[in-house]
Amino acid sequence: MQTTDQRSDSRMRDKDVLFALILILSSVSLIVYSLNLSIRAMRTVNATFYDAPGFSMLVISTGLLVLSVALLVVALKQGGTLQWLAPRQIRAALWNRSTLKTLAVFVYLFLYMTGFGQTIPGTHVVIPFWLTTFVFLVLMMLTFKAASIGYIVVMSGLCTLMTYLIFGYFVKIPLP
Amino acid sequence: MMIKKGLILIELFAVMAIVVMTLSGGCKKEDGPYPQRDVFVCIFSSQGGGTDTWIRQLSALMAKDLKVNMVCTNLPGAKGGTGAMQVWSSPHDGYSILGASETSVFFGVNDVAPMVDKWRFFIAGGSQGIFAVRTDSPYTRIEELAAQAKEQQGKIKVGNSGQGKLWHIKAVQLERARGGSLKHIPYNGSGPAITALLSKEVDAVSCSCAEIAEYVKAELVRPLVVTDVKSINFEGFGPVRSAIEIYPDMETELQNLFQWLGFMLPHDVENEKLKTFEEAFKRSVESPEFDRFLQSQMARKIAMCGKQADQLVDRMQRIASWTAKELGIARKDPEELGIPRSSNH
Amino acid sequence: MMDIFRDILNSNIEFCRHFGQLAHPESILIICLAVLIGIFFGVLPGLSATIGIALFTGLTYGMPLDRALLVLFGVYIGAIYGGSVSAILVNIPGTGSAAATCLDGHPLALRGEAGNANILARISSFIGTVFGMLIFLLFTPLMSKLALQFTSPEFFWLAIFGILICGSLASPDLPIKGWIAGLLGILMAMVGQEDIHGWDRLTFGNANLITGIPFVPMTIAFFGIPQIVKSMKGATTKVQAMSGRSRLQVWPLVRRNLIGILRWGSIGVGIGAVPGVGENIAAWVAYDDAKRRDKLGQKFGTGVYEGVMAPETANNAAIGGSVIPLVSLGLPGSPPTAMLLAALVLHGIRPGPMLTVENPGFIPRLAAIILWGAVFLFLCGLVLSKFMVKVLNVSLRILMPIIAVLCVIGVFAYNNNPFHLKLVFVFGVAGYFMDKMGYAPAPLILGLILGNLADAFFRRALLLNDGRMLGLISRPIAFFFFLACVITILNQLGLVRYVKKKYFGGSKT
Repeated sequence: MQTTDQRSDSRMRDKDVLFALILILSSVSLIVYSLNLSIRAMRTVNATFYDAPGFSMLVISTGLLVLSVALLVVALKQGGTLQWLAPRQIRAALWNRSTLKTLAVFVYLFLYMTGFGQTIPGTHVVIPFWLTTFVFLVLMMLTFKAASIGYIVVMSGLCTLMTYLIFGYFVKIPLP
Repeated sequence: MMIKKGLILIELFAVMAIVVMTLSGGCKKEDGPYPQRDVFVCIFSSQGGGTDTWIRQLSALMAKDLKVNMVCTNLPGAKGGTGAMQVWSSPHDGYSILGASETSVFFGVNDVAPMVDKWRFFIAGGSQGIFAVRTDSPYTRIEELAAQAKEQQGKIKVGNSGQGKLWHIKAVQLERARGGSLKHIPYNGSGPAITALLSKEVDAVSCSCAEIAEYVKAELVRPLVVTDVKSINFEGFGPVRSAIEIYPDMETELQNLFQWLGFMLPHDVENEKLKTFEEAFKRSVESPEFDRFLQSQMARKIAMCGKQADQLVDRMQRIASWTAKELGIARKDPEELGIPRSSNH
Repeated sequence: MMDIFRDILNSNIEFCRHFGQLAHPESILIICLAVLIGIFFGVLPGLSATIGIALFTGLTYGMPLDRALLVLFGVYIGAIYGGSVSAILVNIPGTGSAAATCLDGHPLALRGEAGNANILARISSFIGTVFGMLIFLLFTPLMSKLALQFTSPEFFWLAIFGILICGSLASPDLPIKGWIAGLLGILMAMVGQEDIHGWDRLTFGNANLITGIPFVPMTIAFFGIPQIVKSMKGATTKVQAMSGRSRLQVWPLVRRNLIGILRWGSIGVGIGAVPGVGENIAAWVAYDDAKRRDKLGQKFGTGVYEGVMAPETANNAAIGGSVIPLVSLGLPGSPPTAMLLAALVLHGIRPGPMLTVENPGFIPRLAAIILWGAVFLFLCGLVLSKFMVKVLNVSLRILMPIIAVLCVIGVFAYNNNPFHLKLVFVFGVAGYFMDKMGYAPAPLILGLILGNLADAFFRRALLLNDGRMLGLISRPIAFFFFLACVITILNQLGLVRYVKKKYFGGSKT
């Protein structure tokens, strides 16, 4: 029990190292961005340093910088490394069932959410809400083998119909 | 087995398609004069605001006249750009129209939607602006405040509903006309600005008459000057002079920038449809119901459409765009957009 | 003094009369339906009290004012309670105000006490609503005077005080991650056009970002999407509906926490009464208060009953609170009351300082409506919660895709803008990875709510005071809040030192 705990802990620290580095980079660029913004505002609309648009952002991103450095230190001290970013380990980490499942959910969500209310390329026809919803529900449940196909289809159809009726007609949301 | 299931799937699909199609009325072909089906009104600000109230009221009146439903939906965001782009990207067939306010003259400098020359305007009315102080304030006349503003530069704090919004520009115009200097404090809407006035955070506020009327009646707030052309009689206070009476040199500015609410249609909608819409619009704004509404909103009727409205909005865009540039809030340079500076600017 | 007393007595008599008047089958039917619909709006992620009221403002336009108010308040009260149901059952807050309820409500559900948590949420909501109503009925003039004491420095310190709660929120991993998430939330709040100079920040030229990153869709991105993904992967334990034996003795618990309930109620009313703050923040502050005062403070976040009671009491008490500035000053206390303001205007009533003068019976009448709403919240909740816990019997792999669809509809309904869906997807992915790395979504959401408030009011206060920092603490209430913030920080530093010792294994002196 102890060992698995430690292993998961050190894996967490590995990720922390990477995330802390990302945070440090982004907070530095935010500091530059906010300073730039403030200076521009001070030049053009004679804002003072404190009420310039970048001030709060400067404070926050400085705070973030300090915290992310602290996070980096803590993570390194507790055995976090970046070795897991080596190509082989990465492949091993990415190429497993759990990651594939996550990916599948995200792909479906992506298609559903970005396809919402879009037109079919090259035409003026808006993809209808009921179609995307139905396909999304069926695919999602099928991929994860939630139930038998018949049940899934009936369930998805019912759900689509219900949501369309309730939200499109009763609540009057202008669904595409 | 698989084939059977596939068949079930297809059947269900077909049934659902039919149900939904019949429910949504399918795709009717247009035959006969405009309008044949529901008109979609896209309101470019959120529910409950002034624009929303006006457009819904106007739509209800228009719907009665046009004998179709006018379905209002709110599409706020991007300073009206979200709603405007929705209408712009729909077919320009007169069935999707924009419910808008004077904010649309900023479309160009905000770089969110096509500029005013790409639209046709149907302006119903609007509330006039007011410049007001608390009742316990030492200023009873605008001249006293002006003198003080000249004496103590930037000491008098004036709340407004947001940087570069109409009421801010009004206060700036007033400031310029009399040479003093005010300290403009932007708030997130007129409500918070009035709150700040009541809680003694600012000394004065620039907002619309309708927004301040109740506080005047309760003797909490004293209106000093109407920042528009017509004087107004406040219930519980009496008449308030308009800025034009006090500062006649402000006439062009006051006449060319004011609050308005109404509809916008893309400019390339067929002329016959525009004509039908225009006539219905005119009848609606002349109706007694609309007069009652105006009274309850303490607003004036503008009732302008066609060429007249286009010219007005064009003038308004010039002033608004260049003022926005001076205040440093234009996302796009008016010069670049080809908006000429007004002659009197 | 006697005057005040007489006024209170008068309004009480008036109130009882109105309460009796409303006990009419028709009114009862209306408010019952309205509360049910409100709960429905609250339960669905993304559909909030504001959207519900907005919808019914249109639908009740033709009704007489009384009936319209019954509907609108029923929806409001129901929706604020309804948010807790989805927060407890699936860890997705149905409304923004229920985000704090997730923290302890869902762990309770995981422990097999979903039913108990539901009962607690319902009873707390009921008590909160009644408490808010009482304060509204009796102390409106006083409270509205207090509300006007809030100027920019006070708002700023209130926001800072709220942000400091980030540090005390339980994070599953290192405590420092709570702060990082909080700061990221504040940074997200900075996106868009700022209030003071009107400059764009971090919009990268995207017009849709000018109005900022909206808060309601983000609760779905950071609570909903990670939950959906985890559940689909089968990485979550299945929530058990209550087993019969663990039925909670509610009333002893309420009696034990009586003082706490009063405090949380007061927090709710107080924060609700400040114009423009609202029930979202009230819930957080009450949660923090409960956590700091409770003996079980360290256990908060693992399923403590008080952790459900505090935010639910406060967010419902905020209803009464936010109506106070609405009827006395014409200034809405929260986003849903801003909608109510519009509804009243449509019905020809202009809320403002003259309202109580011209319609003296308005406050008692509204209070009676709120009380009826509370009663039906209690009753409808009783019926519904039994029904809703049953949802958990459905397999998660069927339930979650459906919830995903509801989330998508909720995000779209927020502003009818498909762009928000893309935004939610992007932040949902970020939220999932942050969740995997041990960052709690709660402080991030808190930062997002408060970031802009703190930023704008800080700079506005400086603008008003000609850049003098002293102006931030020169007013009594501001100074009081400032002290509260300092004490909180000191408190947390002590905590930080303790945690450091623990994590560094005493390597640091």
